[in-house]
Amino acid sequence: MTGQDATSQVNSIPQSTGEPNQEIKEVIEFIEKIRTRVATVVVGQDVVVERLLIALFTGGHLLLQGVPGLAKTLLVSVLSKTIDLEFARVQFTIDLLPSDILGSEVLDQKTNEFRVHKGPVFTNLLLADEINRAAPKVQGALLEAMQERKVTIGGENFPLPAPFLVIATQNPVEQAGTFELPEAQLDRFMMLHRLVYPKPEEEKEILRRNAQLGIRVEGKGAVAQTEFDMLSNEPAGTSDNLIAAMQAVQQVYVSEAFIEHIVEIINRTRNHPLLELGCSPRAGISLIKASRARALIRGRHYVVPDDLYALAEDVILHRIRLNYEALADGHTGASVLQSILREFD
Amino acid sequence: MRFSFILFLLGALCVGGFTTRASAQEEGVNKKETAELKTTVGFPLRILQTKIPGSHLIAKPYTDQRIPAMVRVIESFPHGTDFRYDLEFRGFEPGRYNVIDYLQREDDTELASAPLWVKVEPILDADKVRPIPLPQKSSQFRSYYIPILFVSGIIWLAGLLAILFYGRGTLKKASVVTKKMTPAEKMRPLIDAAINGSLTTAQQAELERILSEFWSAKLNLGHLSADQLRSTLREHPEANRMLEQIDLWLHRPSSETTASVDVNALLKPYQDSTTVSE
Repeated sequence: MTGQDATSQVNSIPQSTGEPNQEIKEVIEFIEKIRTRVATVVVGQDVVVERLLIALFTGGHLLLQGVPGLAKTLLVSVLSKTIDLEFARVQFTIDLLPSDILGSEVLDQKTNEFRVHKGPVFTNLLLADEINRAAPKVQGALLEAMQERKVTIGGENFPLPAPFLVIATQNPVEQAGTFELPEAQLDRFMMLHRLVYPKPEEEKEILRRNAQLGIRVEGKGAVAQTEFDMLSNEPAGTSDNLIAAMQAVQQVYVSEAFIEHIVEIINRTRNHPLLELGCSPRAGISLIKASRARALIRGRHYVVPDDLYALAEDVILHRIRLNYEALADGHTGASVLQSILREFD
Repeated sequence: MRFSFILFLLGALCVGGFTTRASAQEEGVNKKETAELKTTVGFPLRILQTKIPGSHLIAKPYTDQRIPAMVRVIESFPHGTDFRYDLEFRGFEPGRYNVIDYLQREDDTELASAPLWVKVEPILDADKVRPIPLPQKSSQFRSYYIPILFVSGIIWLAGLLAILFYGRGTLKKASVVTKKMTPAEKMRPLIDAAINGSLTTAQQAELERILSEFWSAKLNLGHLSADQLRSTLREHPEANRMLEQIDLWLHRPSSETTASVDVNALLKPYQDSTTVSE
């Protein structure tokens, strides 16, 4: 039996075939430009940049979990400038109201009529800093906007701009006074990436670069420059490039065998004796979307299990919940997930 | 005559006044004696502002339940060299009681005071002085209560031990049973099916996973995560060759596999492999 015969048994979903065409090659060049530009101000964090691009190209939302000071804001800021996208940042606090994010109707005293004041959610890239510090009604309002991509103010619907990507952050420490996102709301995030500290070599490079930032003269004084001052306002691509990249992701080939892998993993999470809550179908959809985008970023026009395994933790881990016995035995979500991925029976 | 009449009248008035006063005094004593305080069995009677001469009084301690009455000194007030008292008296048996009998001097000196009588009257009729005794029914459950409690405790303890030891043991046993099969043993029927051309898509995916595990066991990479394992295998020349062939066979678009993958040649080395164990 030949590989051709074996593959002929597969009823693949309709997609383009063949070697990467010129369009895909251009997209790969565009991605490389973005990565180069980001690398000029952000040291390391290649995986985070990849996750951001995956979220951007697939229209999914990203939750970053990490301690403060890991260049989350800088990263999102440089990404927005590189692709010429609008960027807004909201610091979530306990007293934040839904209208502070979505917008509200205000009375114009000149005309004596109400007019709509749009909130910061009307942007392309929204950084929701420390989302778990806000009250559940604020989280709910944002997550609803993320899901429906439209906002209702004063009975009128306003579509959010395209692309619309929410990059939320939460701090794994200092849990006092926070509102943990429930599983149903976490499921809205395509990926939850756990940021780690830079490696020692990367840390040295960060310090070297920071030492060379210098000062900026302003008026009669001067201020110390930050990495934000180093950002180039010249975009590396346009919205057309972004649309082309999103289109290219849709053309990445997904084999039936790959779908079988995903279904198997999803089913294992649902039937695992140590898990109380397994993955929803949305998790499988997210895995395929994210894997396609990763394949494209890696210069491939087809997905392989490497994409699946690389993204499994970010896509699955926040969607599963350990049961009491697993917690009592000291298991973690990551350890159970790895046992699922490494199981071969 | 007139003078003698006036003298008579005065004399009559004096005699009358004396006799009236004497009879009034006599009546007061009688009244005091007859105005006896009354209460019923068990009900408290408050005797307020009663002056009892002498040093300060306290209630005698109620040490024996057979004592038919008790007194409580609610409050005492100085009254010159004496004291006034607010008392509470309670009788438990019908009868006539002297409240003073239930008091004693605080300084333990002798108490010799005029009696203060209280009559305690019964509420019930004379022939119903005692309450009707409750029927002493013996409950069957009550008689077995302790044994039932003991047996329930043993059953509960046995259940707990069974859950703790037998339940966990069964789970572990089950997991051990599934792990007994090596990747080589697991993939052999799949390879046979692949060579015969009867492999389904689900089996193809399963075979791919098992081949990764086979290499993991062969290279002792069991400690790595799934992601790290794939990366490590990609760096291994022989394992990478196998993965690339499988990518070409299973994951690339069918139109690109015109060069074809010789599945027999790809899987033959693994068909008889028995060297790797968990």
